[in-house]
Amino acid sequence: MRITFPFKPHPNPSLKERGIHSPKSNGLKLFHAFQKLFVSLFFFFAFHFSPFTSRAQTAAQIIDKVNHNFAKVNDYTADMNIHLDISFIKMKDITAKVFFKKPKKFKVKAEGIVVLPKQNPNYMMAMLQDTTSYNAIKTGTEIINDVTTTIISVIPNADTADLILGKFWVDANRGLILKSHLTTKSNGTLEIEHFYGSNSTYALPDKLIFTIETAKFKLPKALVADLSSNSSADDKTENKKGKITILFGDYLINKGIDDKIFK
Amino acid sequence: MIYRLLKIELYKIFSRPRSYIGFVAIAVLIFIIQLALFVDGKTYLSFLTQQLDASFFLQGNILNGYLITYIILQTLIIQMPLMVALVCGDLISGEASSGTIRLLATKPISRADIITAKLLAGSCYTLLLVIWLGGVALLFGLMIFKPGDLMVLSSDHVSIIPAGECLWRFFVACLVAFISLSVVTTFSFMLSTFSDNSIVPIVATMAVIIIFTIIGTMDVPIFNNIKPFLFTTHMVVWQLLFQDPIDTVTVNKSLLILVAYCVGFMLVTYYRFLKKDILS
Repeated sequence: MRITFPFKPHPNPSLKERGIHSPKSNGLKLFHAFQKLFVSLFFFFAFHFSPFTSRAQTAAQIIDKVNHNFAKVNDYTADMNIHLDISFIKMKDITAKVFFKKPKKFKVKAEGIVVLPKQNPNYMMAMLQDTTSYNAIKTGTEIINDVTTTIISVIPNADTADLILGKFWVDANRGLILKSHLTTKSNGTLEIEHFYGSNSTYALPDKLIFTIETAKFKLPKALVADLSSNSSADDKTENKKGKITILFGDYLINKGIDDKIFK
Repeated sequence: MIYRLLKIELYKIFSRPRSYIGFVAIAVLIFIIQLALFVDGKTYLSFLTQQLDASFFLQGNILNGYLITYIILQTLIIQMPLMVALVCGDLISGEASSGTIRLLATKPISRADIITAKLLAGSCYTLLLVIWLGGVALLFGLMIFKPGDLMVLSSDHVSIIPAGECLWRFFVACLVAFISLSVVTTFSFMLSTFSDNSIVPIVATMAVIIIFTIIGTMDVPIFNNIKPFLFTTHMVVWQLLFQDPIDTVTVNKSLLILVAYCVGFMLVTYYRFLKKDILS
């Protein structure tokens, strides 16, 4: 059995304990302080003046930069050429005119039938601008077309939102989204590749490639009175991926658009 | 001589009330379908396109005159053989049952000329029926619903044909539909030479078409070997003209098969009628 005694101070306390420091220990402390300052300054300059500045930006800052570019656009019109590469839709390229006006007015005008992805080209930009509606997290970096991009995952705050998860590959230096990956409740996963040209300062792309999940298209033969087709081995493929390529041209930015166009 | 005989045969056809049943029925059905689609076409269309709507944003005048015409053709062309058989199945057997075949055959006209004139008259009737169907459907469709790109919904895919290409496609489709219906014309005409009663060739033609159509639509492996030989399989080839790109190989192959059927039925008809005992 171990017996403990009440604490008793040492009869001869040391100099340190008595508040008396030796000249040698003061110098050491000063050295450590300078060392800390030097290291801090090194990292400060290294991050702020290096070409990899983006690494230091937070997800919110990067999104702010993206939003800042698009915020310059009050309205625009552009010519669109839509090319569909979807196994069950057979159609020629479509030419159309697109109209956009802040905050979310969007209209496509064409002579014939237009088939577009559910998410219009400005869907993401409109969504990202409401920074209170989601949480953004940096999840890594990736090189796309020789450009180092920051991957930002966006999770909406509301359970009711159609978007479950958005993943954006952002060129943080220019504030441009180069690739997006959207997981939605209604349409599964959607991937969008963005290509920019002369209107990159407005975050307006020259080309968008939508890669979408397409469920097998099947209608009852009796309903469409289709007596010519028979089921084939290809029918067994449940889900395929389809591509919609949209080329934009002849942008007219901030020239003013009448609201009547959107009615 | 053939021209005079043809005129007489056409007069005979169009002097019978039953010949107008087809035209009236087509006009009534076109009116009913167009009225229904005018009133509630959007509901019908949204039901058809709900699968597309789930993934895509569709914009434009989808419910247009060309789509209405296509729906009408698709629905009514299946019923057309009945109207064709009603007239062409009666061309020889009708004369036989009434006894006028003897009077006709004793005239100084060759039997081959008689049969050629009757066949041409039957073909004219079929052509008029197809023109009536396509013309009325297209005319009123465009007047009521306006033109636009044609969205063709098949059981496993969707084709969108630009509005500028629709008119010639409908024209060629009517031509192909005429060739398809010519098989029914020649078939019922052939059966008509075997019977002295009009009902038999009409009913027999319809029975054969119904049986062949059922075999053609059933996805049963045992029928797959038979299907390419059934003329009903190739009669729907006009639908391929509304695909992009057009499968010309299949269209040509089907047309050749249909023409071969027509020639085959005509040869049997000629042989049978030239050898037919009209005295008994």
